Amino acid sequence: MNDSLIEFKGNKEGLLVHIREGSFESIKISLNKKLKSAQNFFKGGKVIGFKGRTLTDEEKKELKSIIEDQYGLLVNETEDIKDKETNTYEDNYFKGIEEGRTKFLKTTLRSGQRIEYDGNVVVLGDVNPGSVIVATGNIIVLGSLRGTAHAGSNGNTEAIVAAFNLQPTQLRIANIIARSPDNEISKPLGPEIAKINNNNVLIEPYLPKK
Amino acid sequence: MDLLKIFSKNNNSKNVAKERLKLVLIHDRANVSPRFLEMVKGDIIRVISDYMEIDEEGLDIKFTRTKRDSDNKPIPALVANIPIVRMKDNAMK
Amino acid sequence: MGEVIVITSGKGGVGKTTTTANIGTGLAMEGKKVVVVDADIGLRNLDVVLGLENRIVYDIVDVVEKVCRLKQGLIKDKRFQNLYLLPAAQTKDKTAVSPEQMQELCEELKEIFDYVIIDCPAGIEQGFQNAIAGAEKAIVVTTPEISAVRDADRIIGLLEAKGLYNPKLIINRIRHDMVKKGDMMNIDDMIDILAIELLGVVPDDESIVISTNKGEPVVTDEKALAGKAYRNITQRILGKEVPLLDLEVDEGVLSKLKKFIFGK
Repeated sequence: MNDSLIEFKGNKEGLLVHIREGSFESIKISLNKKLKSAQNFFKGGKVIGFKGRTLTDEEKKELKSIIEDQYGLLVNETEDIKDKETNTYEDNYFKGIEEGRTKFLKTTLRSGQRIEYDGNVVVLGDVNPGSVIVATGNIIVLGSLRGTAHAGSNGNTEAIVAAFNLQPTQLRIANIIARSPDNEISKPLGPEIAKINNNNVLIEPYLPKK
Repeated sequence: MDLLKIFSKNNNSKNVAKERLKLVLIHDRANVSPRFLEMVKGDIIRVISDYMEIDEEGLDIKFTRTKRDSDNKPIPALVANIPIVRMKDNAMK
Repeated sequence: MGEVIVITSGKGGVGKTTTTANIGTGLAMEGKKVVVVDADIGLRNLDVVLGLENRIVYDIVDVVEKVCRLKQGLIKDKRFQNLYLLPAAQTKDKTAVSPEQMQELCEELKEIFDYVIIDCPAGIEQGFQNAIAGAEKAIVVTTPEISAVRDADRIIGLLEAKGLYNPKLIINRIRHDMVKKGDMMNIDDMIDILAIELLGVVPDDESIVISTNKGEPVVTDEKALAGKAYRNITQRILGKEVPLLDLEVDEGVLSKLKKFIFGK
């Protein structure tokens, strides 16, 4: 066998998959072989992008499903070079809650899991203690937020964090950090929104305008 | 009469635990596998068989521990119980 | 120059983290400058036992990787201002830190603190190797169970192989009522088998569960027997001779009830 068409390179954020030129079939074989050779090492790891040979959307989808479903890694493309290029004309961060790229997660985030996204994050599920969400935009949790949430991570002080049940271990917006009170307080009765007000994180009930 | 005695067994479970633990630690510390013991057993049979006929079925060999005479420190010991069927005459010659 | 002590056991669930939290707090109560280090990367727990989970911004991996400065990673305790926590990372695994990095970290920490107490993960793999890499002394925690004592024995051997001689033993969760009936190995039984020096005995005490629920180490509880046990252990670490705790008081409700019913 020749050298593998697939190479994993790690950095602090996660793993980058480098792909050499070759047929898609042999790329898939290489990928499977590579992941199988160190299944435990890769398990729970995070793939942050693909480099090298250009992939069609179909091909990328297929590779993603192999990586995520068969080997238990998380694919979260933050390093996708192309995406970055197309985004260069945009602002560095979102302003307020207007619009922007959004990641939807339909799962419960458990302790030890970390989601980082250059955009908004919406979780259809719970965010358990010990898990972390870092987003440059807003964070919305349709469930209980008990872990750590960091909205506006690149400095957007207008970012918000909202949840059906807002009880985070720690809440950060831009560079402001708030932690849950040490003494038990009563549970919130409904959805709440956290935002920055006078350099403090302010939490208020979410009351839709009538 | 002490009714409590009815509920507590005569043979203290902690003594059972202690004995089991001692034995398992002897093996752990000496780092011997059952295969190793089988090899030792095989070699002993081979050597002894030259001199006497032994009951291989009844042969029992195990690790245990004993106290060293010099300082009373516990040390591992190999104990072999080898039933002899009869001595071999030719070996005596 | 401070002292680096690793708390280890081999087997999980015998109370390493609780022991670390209580020894750390106990030494801080005595006015020592203490840092407790959670080396259980990926399964962080020391923060919740100390009730500091909501203050974590950086962790041990950030410190080791120089993402932040050491002082930024240290979390000040809410009760004792000379007690600090260096939390484990929760989103990484044991391979995120190497034994060399751990050694370097310990060197740095003992410049600042009188005591560096390391909470070792269960097992004998890399997490264990990391946790002991920078340690000068070791405390082995066990419970009066056959499995825990066996693992303790293995750990003592591994510690000695790494040059950590004469580890001290803490026997945790001993139940006086069961020992008396002969249904639990007593202190002498375990010392006889493990043949290492005893640092202390901690009774199986409900107050530990209660204090852990609240995130307040039991050593601060004046009334609890387990609290007294940890205060004694602290004294012994400081080099004072303290007699072993009289566990006679630690009678479970059940045994009291039996005494009452059977008149014995």
